[in-house]
Amino acid sequence: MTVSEYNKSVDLFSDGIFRFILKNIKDEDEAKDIVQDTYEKLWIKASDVSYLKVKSYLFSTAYHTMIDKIRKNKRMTNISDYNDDLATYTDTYNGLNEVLDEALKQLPDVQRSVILLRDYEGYAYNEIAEITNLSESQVKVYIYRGRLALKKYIGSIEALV
Amino acid sequence: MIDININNYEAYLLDLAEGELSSADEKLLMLFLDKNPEIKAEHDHFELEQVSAENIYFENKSSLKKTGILDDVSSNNFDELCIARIEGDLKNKEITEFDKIIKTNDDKEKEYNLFKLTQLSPDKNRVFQNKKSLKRKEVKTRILSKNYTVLSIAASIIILIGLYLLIPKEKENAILVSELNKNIKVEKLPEIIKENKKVVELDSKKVSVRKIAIKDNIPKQIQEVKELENSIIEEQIKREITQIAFIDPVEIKYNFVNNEAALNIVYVSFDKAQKKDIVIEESNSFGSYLAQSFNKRILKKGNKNKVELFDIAQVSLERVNKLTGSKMSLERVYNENGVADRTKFNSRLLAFSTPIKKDKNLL
Repeated sequence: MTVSEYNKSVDLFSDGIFRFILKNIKDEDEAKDIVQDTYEKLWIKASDVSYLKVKSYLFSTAYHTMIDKIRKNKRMTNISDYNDDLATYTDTYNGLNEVLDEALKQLPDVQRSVILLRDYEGYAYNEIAEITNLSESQVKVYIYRGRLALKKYIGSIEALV
Repeated sequence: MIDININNYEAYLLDLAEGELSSADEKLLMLFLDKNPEIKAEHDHFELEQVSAENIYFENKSSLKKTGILDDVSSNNFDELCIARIEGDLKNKEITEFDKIIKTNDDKEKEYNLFKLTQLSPDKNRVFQNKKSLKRKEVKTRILSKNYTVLSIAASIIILIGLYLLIPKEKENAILVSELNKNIKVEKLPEIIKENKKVVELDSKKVSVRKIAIKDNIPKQIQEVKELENSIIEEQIKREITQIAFIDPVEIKYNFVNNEAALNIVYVSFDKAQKKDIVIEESNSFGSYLAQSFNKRILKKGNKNKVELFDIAQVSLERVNKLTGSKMSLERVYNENGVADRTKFNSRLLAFSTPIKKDKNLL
């Protein structure tokens, strides 16, 4: 990958990576750091990474950097044992986006990530599998479970409202 | 040899029933069964129990077949279908079917609409502001330009050192001579430490030879002057390497090319019988140095401080001969005085001879 291709990848993908990370960790500074780290890693490997594969390389790197940071900082609440009872609806929501944001927070990291990759970037199952180091069927299962959980959350809010 | 016994005979019976037993084994098995009539009865019963396929068919296959994915939509698989619909996993026909179902069922439509809400869309206004910090400049170019700067500096230093080394030492030693074939004039006269005069026969003439040891900059030198009736006929600088004495003095000759002081220092033994042709040529100009290097490395013509066009032509012709396999030659023709006065070229197609133009064969 040439320098100009690298710089082009900054223009094309840094926003998407930033949004993806920000949605996952809800910390803007941390998200910026992860984007910086991701591009730093890309620059180091620039000669080995093909421009055609740079997007998935960037998202994969960003995803794993984020997971490492989450594990390190224990910033996120592990709610892999998701329970409907954990969801609290005490906040007042001004719109669907806020409800969805809150619902996303309740999802386990992996479910949230695969749904964000699917919806934000339109990745196919196999691409998400590649980025997250999961199998394609695992990705499908996580997307299924995540959507089901989101739907339940939104449905519950609607019932309350 | 297998041993069929009470513990393993069933395996052989099964193989026999399935036609897997070899004829030899079958014979052994039959012998075993003859010896054990009660087992033989069991074997006969086993044979009866083999069921042959009958013509029995499941008649209600059509009830199992599906005409579409929504034939048996239940609460269990509706979620799955909704997710497949929003994920784009359904085929066109299935989408049409699915859409039909939800239009006719309000509950299902509501459920589906909730699933549709789970689709996230990015907030395009949230962008990474500091893209500039991520971008890289053409580092390679910069490194290259830096390298050029470094190389320029290094080259300048090398040139300066080279020039310093190439500066003629006679300047330092103050022994530059002003004109060709004139008396050697020393710019800075060295201090005479020791002097010794003697008269020698030279071409039947008495020549006064004066040897002087001089204190000068390193190396120490001895000047020898040959005089005839108070007129100097030859003046030489004798250089002594080791010490100030008359032991093994060396002769220094000066050659002049186009009035440029090209210094050739010829070290010879003072004793002519032990004269040595140890020649160390020094050049007092960068051009001479280049000429020497060119002669030595390219033309293989020793340390001459001039490059002759003839040598270049001859070497070039040799290379052409080597490459093409031709036999062209370029030679000098010498006259009776031993002076080269013509150049002769010879090849398969062309041969000519041309006079040498003096003073134009020097670079």
